[in-house]
Amino acid sequence: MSYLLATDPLQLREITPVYFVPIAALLVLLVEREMIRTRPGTPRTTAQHVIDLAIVPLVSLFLIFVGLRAATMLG
Amino acid sequence: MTVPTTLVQPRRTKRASLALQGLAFATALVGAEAVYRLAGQFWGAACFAVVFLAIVHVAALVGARGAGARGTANPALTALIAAASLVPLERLLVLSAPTLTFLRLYPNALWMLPIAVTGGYAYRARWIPGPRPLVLPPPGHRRPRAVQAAVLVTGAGLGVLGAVIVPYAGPHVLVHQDAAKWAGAALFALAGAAEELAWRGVLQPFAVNAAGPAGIAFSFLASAYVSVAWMGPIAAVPVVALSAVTSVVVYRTRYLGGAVAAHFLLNLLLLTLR
Repeated sequence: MSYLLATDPLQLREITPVYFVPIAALLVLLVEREMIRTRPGTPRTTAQHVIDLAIVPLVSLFLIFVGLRAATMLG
Repeated sequence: MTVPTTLVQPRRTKRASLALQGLAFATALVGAEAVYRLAGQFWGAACFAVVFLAIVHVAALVGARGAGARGTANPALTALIAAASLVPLERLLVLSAPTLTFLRLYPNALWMLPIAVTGGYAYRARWIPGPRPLVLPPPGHRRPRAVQAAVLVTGAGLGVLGAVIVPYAGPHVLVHQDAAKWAGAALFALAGAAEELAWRGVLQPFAVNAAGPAGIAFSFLASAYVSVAWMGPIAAVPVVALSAVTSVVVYRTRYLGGAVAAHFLLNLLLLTLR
């Protein structure tokens, strides 16, 4: 059973609730990033850098998820 | 209405030791791991997400402490706490990354892509103070290059050992005639390289910068924990052994290339020789 999808590697057919946990964490961080945003032209604070560092992997995972799902729906 | 004096004139509390902070960190991880084992994948991922967010906010608060009139900035501690968030982050990604069935050995190996991006971002970040290990020694330095080559050979040997000792009942990963097998093999091999970049290239130098040589033990324990939690205790034995070697070598030589290549080779051989 595990090998039926081997010829369609980049497909994500089942969506489980656990996929939405990192998306929820990403939303929390994005809201906080907007709350502590400084004015344009001023240097970013350390807190903003820390939040950005935390956002990067979650955005990457979100893009992977969306890409796989789009490939599944279009393919 | 009276305002409590602690709000008007907040007293500075005594700063907790790094060992105590590390103990609290480990306790939170153990709790999240217990929830995962007892309540399932969703609640485990939720707990790791909470721990991850909490550590990120502690790092942001410590980093913001120096901005006001009260308190002093501690960039080394800020960097260490921010890098420590990689531990619950990796567990969160392992539990919540999309599972693809063609990745036969470890179907959730896609988690390595966000970790690799984050490791590279933190390794190159200029706002984080402190030296990082370089990738390779400059040309002409024979002895450092020989040490890196020795680490690479050690990784290859441990990969062969892992292929022998790890039990696996499924078909060989390279049996099927499809492109997926190569994607799966590449992701699993790159997971090793991404781990070395995150633990030895980011967490270890920040931990050493903040806590001295004891930071090596912290970084090693963190990498051993995530390896055991992801691969299982038996399959993680060669990985943990290599982590012990690379922790010392990267600390002593300040070069990262051998460790990254060795872990890549270990995972590749573990996957293809079984």
